[in-house]
Parts: sequence; C-alpha cells; structure tokens
Amino acid sequence: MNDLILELKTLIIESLNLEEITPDEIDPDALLFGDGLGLDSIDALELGLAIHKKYDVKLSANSEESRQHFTSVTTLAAFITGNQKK
Amino acid sequence: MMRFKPCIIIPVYNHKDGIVTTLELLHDYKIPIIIVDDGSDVDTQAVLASQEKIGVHLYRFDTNQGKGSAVLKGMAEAYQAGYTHALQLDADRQHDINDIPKFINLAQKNPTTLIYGDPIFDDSIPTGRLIGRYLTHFWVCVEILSLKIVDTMCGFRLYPLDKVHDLMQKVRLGQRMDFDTDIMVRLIWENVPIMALPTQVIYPKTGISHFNYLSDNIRLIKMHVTLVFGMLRRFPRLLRQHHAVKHWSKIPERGTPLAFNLMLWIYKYLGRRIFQIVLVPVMAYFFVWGKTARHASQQYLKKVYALGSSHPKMATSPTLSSSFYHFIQFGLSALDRMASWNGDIKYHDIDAGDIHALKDLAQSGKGAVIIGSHLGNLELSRALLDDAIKMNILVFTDHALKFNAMLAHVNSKVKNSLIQISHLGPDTAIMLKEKIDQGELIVILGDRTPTNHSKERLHYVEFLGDTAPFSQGPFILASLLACPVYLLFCLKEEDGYHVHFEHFTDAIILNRKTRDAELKPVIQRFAKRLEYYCLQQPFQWFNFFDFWHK
Repeated sequence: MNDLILELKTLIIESLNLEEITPDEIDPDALLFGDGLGLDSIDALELGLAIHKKYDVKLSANSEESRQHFTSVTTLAAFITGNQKK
Repeated sequence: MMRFKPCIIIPVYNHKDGIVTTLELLHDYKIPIIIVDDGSDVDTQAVLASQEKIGVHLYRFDTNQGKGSAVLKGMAEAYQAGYTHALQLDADRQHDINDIPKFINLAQKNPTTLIYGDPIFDDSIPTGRLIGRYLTHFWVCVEILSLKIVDTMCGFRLYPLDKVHDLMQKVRLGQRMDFDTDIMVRLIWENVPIMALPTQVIYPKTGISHFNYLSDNIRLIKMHVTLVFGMLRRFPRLLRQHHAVKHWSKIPERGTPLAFNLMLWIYKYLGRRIFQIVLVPVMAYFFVWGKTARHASQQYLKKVYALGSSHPKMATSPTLSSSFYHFIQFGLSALDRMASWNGDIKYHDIDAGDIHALKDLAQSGKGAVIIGSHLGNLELSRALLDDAIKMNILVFTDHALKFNAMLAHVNSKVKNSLIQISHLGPDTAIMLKEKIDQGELIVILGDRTPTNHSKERLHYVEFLGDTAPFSQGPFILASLLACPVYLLFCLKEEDGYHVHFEHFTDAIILNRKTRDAELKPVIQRFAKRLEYYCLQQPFQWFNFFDFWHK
C-alpha cells in the first residue's frame, strides 16, 4: 500500500509537471482538489487520464461515488487496489 | 416523523339513502368521520342524527350554503380538533371507497402533498358533464400554467390541513360547486405539491346531483375569470415555480418550470406562428430588464459591424433595434430546438452537404472531439442523427442544463446524448476517454464565457477585432483525449439550416512543459473560424455576456 502511495505521488508530480514539490511534501490525506493540493479542473482531467492509462481503472456509473475515489492520495490508492483485484 | 392523523369529511345535502350505505362501508376503515349537513330536509336530518349516536361528528347548517361551505366548515373543525389531513368524499356513492387505503398510504408517504382523485369514468357520465370537464381542464391548464391535465373537479381527495388552513385565512374560497376547482388551483399557486391517484367514478342512476346548470355554470365562469386574473397577477412567480405534478405510481419526477411548459404548450397546441407572436412581448421583457444581455449584444454587434459583415441587417451601424432582433433570434432558436426534438424539423430542412461528413465520422467508429460554439443551433445537428450514433454534448452551465433536462422530458433521445457536467474531475476525464475509445463523438463548446471568479486557465486571443479570454479547457481536453478534432456550426440561413463541419486537426499535440505557449495559436485558430461564421450570421451568436472582459 505504501509503495502504491509513493507511486501515485510520483505520478501526480510527473503528470502535472509539479517540479517544485517532492513526494514527501504531499500529505496522502490532504484533499487533492480545492484547498489541499490546490489542483484545478485541468489538472483533474490530466490526472484522471494518467491514472486511467497506468492502472486501467473502471469507474462505476455513479458519478458521486466515482468522485469520492479521487478525494486524496489514500482514497485513490484504496480504489486502485480494489479495482485491480477484480 | 411528522404527525399523521387523518379524518374523512363528507358534505351531505339530502343524500338520505346514499349516506347510510357510505357510512356502513366506511366503518371498517376506522377513520374518524366528520359530516357536515348542508341544510338537509327533515328525513335526512333524522338519519344523520342516528349516525351521530354511533360516533360520527356532525355539524349542521340551518339553510343550504353550498358544498364548498360545508367542506370548509368540516376542514376548519377538523383542523381545530388536531387532525392533520382530511379526505373529502361525496355522499352520493360516486367515489370508490375501496381506494381510501391508497389515499391514506400515499398521504403518509407524502404528508405535504395534496392527493387528488384522477377520475376514470365508466359510461354513466352524461355528455354535458364530459364537455364541461374539458372546458374546465383547459382553463385550469391556463390558470396553473400547466401542460398536463390536472383534474380539479373530482371531489375525492386528501388535503394536508395546515395548508388549507393557511389558505382559508388568506382568501374566501368557492362556497358552492366552484369549490373543488377553486381550492385546488389556489393550493397549486401556493406551491403545494399535488399527486394524482386514478380512481373509478360512477354516476349512480339513483344519485341526486345538486348541480344547477344555469346558476352553477355562471358561478364557474366567474370563478375562472377570477382565477385567470389571479394567474396573470402571479405570472412571474408562477413561471419560476417548479410545478411538480406527480403520479402515484411513479418515482417523483423532476419538476418542470412553468415557463418551459408554457412555451412547449403554446408551440404544441397553438402552433409555430402563435409562438412567434408570443415571443415578441416575452423577449421585449428580457430586453428591457436584461441590461447585461442588452449591453453585451450591442457591444458584440458593434464589433461585427466594425469588421464588416455581409449580413443585410449589418449594412448600417447597429442600433437598439438590431439588438432586439438579436434577442428575437435567440427565442426563435429555442423554438427550433423544441421543434427539432419534437420531430418537426426534418432531415430535408437541413442542408445535406456537411451532415454526411458528420455521419460518416460518427459511423467510422473512430472517436473524435467536436468543438462547437454558441453560434447557431448546435443541437439541431444532433437531433437529425440516428439513435445509433452517439454524439455526446457536454453541458456545463446551469441554465443549459435545465433547458436540456426539460427537453429530455420531451424526447428521451436528448437524455442519451447529453452529458451533464457539474464539475470537471478525474472521473469525468476517464468517462470521456472511455467514450472516445468506444468510437463516440464528444461535443464541447469552445466559446464558453469564463466567469470572473474562476481560476480557469485562459488565453487572450483576438476575436472580432479585440482580445477576448477563451478557456483552455476544451482544447486541453481534446489534446489529452488524443483524437482528431473537428469544428461544427449549424447555422440558419435563408433557405434553412446549414451544417458546417470542418476538420480542425488530427490531434492537438502539446508538450507538457511548453503547453501554454503551444496552445495559444490553436485557440487563436478556433477564434478565427468562429469569427468567420459570426460575420456570416451575426445574429446567431447567443452569448449574452461581456465576452471581452479583461
């Protein structure tokens, strides 16, 4: 799980071109969007596609539920882990 | 949990025989009964007195005051006695008592709703009554600005008493045969939700009707006149009010704003011409009060004029009346949208040329992004495509969302082709990517006005002789989805609609580090194409905001 969290942090930094921060500086429980990391909607699109490409995740039709998975690095890691088992 | 304590109210006027049977049948339901004797004869009085002894609450008028007075008296007493709901029932056995549990059940689940009997008639209904019913339906549709027929005449219904109590403090309701319709229309005006319960209604051969054809009809006419004026006074509020007519067997539907219903109603029943006539005062209203939109229109038309447009109305410098014409075109475009979803604009009304290219693309199974705009009537092209073709239009603004949701009500095809996006998140991107991979088309508007507060990434590019902010979003999205990009405009020209469909690029390829700089010329190129078409059909760019704000 910790490996995945680090992997995700690196993915976020690389795909969003956030050169000025290191993985350690990202709090895995902070909100990715809004006040936490402060990513905007374009970042969101990029991140979504980067994750889709790397992990081939499938989303449920329920958009509210899908949105929850992208709350923080931790929730995202849990979602990817759950998705890969299937 | 809200307190729920129902009672049954029966107005009686000389229904000596019917009432006994009715009360016997009601006995099993163990619901308290209130009878209001509306000045009945001695025989009926005697029958009622015997019922009072076995627990029925009885109130009595010495002289006949009318059905409305009797029911209102019963409801006032019931409210005082602490009942929360009252089921109104006629004494003459017209109503199917077996439906009472359904009423109670629905009211328990929807305690703030007026549950009304929606009559299913057998052949016993006299023809005169039937005609009268249709006339009433028509007037009620006007009074509550509804497209759906709502039965307001059936006296079998269940009221939430607090709402009735409030209403009784405000107005004097119909006291006689005008009561049933009057109270219902006014409760709807008060935004009380209503729900229909279909119920069998018979006209018993032995039944006594107290409907006096002359005096009661005059009364009804007077009531409708009052209600129509009442509607006119409440017009702006009623238009905003969400009108939720629910059907008992369905999951509560989304309410439809009355303005839309009214527009659709006019279009459907009165036709295109009347719609165009009605449109003039409606648009005049928006023109007078919509200062921002009016200014935006003038600013835009001036820019078009300065650049030089071939449009005949652009031969001279635009005036206020040019802007009003612009507003009218906006209204007409809404009309065309409705007409197209209603199936009234046919394939041959649209220039065939480019629609084939669009069809070919859609059928090729290669996903693509289509960048559209607020110019013309984008959705018209969608309405012409087969169901099998998946063209998803992304809608962001609340306003468009509502309009489209309403169209979806009319035509299920709309629902399937719209992706309503309230937020752009990673999940949205994944969903869109999956659609592209499945060969679907995604339409996104390239000229959305960015809001002042948003931290949206913008590029200022030249558009109609001045720099204007364009959102980077649609273009970055197209680039991320790594698919071909096309432009689509559907414009109304002299001989009908023309689809202009052009290839924009095979892919927008951006380097992550130099993306910002690389994107600007792409957006500029789009702005130039938009400008080109704006100059051709200047009155069809429906973006009524200050687009060039810095």
